[in-house]
Amino acid sequence: MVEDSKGNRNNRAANAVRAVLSQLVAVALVYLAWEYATHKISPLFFPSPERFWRAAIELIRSGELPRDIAASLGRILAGFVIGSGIAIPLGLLLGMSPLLRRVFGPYIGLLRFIPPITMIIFAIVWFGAGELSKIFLVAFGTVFTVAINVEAGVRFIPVNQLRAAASLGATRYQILRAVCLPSCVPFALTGMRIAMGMAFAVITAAELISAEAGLGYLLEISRSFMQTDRMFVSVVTLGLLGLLTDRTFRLLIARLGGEYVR
Amino acid sequence: MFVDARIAAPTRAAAVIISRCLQNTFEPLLGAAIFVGIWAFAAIWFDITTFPGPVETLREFIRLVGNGDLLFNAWTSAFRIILGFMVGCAIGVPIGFLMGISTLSRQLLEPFTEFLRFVPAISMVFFSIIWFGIGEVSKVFLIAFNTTFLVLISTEVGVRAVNRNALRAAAMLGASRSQQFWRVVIPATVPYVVTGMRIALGRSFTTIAAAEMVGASAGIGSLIFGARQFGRMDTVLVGIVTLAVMGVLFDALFRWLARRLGGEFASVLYSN
Repeated sequence: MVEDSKGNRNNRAANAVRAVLSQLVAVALVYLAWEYATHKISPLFFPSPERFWRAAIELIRSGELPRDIAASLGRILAGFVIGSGIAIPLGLLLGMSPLLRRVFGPYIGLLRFIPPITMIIFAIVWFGAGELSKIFLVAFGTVFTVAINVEAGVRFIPVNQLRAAASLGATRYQILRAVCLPSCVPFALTGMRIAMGMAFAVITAAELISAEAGLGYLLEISRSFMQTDRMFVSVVTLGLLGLLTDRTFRLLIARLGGEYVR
Repeated sequence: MFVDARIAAPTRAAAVIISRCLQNTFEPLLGAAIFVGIWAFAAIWFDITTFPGPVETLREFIRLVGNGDLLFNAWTSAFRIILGFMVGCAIGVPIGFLMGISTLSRQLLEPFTEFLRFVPAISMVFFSIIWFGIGEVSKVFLIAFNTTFLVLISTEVGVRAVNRNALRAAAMLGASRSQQFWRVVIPATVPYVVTGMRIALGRSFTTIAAAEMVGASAGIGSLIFGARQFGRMDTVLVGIVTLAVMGVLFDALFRWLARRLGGEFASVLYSN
């Protein structure tokens, strides 16, 4: 589409303003609807905006919310790093060796379908009820998603690229370093981004079932006192954190993977 | 080197066929042997009571199939997933199309969809119970919540990725707006919708397992959680494997259905 560049810029600015305005209107409308609807119903059913903000401020003041955020994020980060650390070499191996792929591929395909949260019972038996069991769950959820993406990345490399490298005298290690690794980066990052979304679900469920801190714990403890406003704070915080980490990840992909991402 | 090609070629072909056959039977067997071997070794290493081995698991599997527990709970979980998945798709796909086509509706809805899709479905479990009771509806709601946003986003992305020139070509050939929608937009979007649905279906299993562990009296999740109280690790493992196998089956079934119903739309559907 060929357009006058100046007109285009004006249009774009106008469009951006319109977008922001309509988004603000939408948010305001829903907020009003929330306010209105909660006048009619019991706060046990759904907290009003006022109750929600009061609970949020209270939780921040008392230091509970920051503590729970730190606990959940710390677990996610640790499990995520460990999981990816195992997954990337594993994926590279599977991608580069057809034999390994044929022999172990089906089992990794099956293990990938285990919902990570169901491993919590074994995790607690093996690692105790502390931090390690939650970190294990996140790592378990991360490994297969990332490994399969990395493997796909290796197999996506055009054969001629590998042949070209080999015919120029590259050793196997050099091929791995100069051809396979770079072309896997976008795939690995995509897998990690998907795994990150999963990690939030897993850690929430794990903290609901057994924890002394974390946003899932906040949810569980508020439920036992029927404090729906605090429950809602926890849910909203989880959503915001998920959004924030996803955006951070997108930014990281653009920064770090920039030269590799097509 | 100097062997007659007429003799060498068939012999070589036979050798290739034989080695291929050997490879095809040997490698999966080797894989299975290594897998079961590692499992058995790990069971002994960790102690049978904390990590049951293959034999114990098989025995427990037969017992649970025999008394009907496994099938009942598997069916309960499957029913919740199927129903919630269909409800979620029925909500997510139309809204996704709407947001993809109309800029205004996208701007109005985006703040909510972009936020809600990051809310883990399981975190809604207590609200779901408060709103819909402890029965089936609350579980179906969680699966629907889990499905809606994933499907919605991928539908929207699909619509927005429709080739502008295809639309222009259709318009130039005299297609009305509804014809453009049915003949150009929908076929081009099918692969995106199917991908979104497949991811959502996979995640449904995590959601339903967690939901049933936290608050349910039936389903594989509750079977697992109930067994924990008696320290029956073999039951737990059978439950986990059942969920994984169900996940594989659902995924295969969904891919088969997608090929059957939407195959004409995209070659993408034929790939893994």
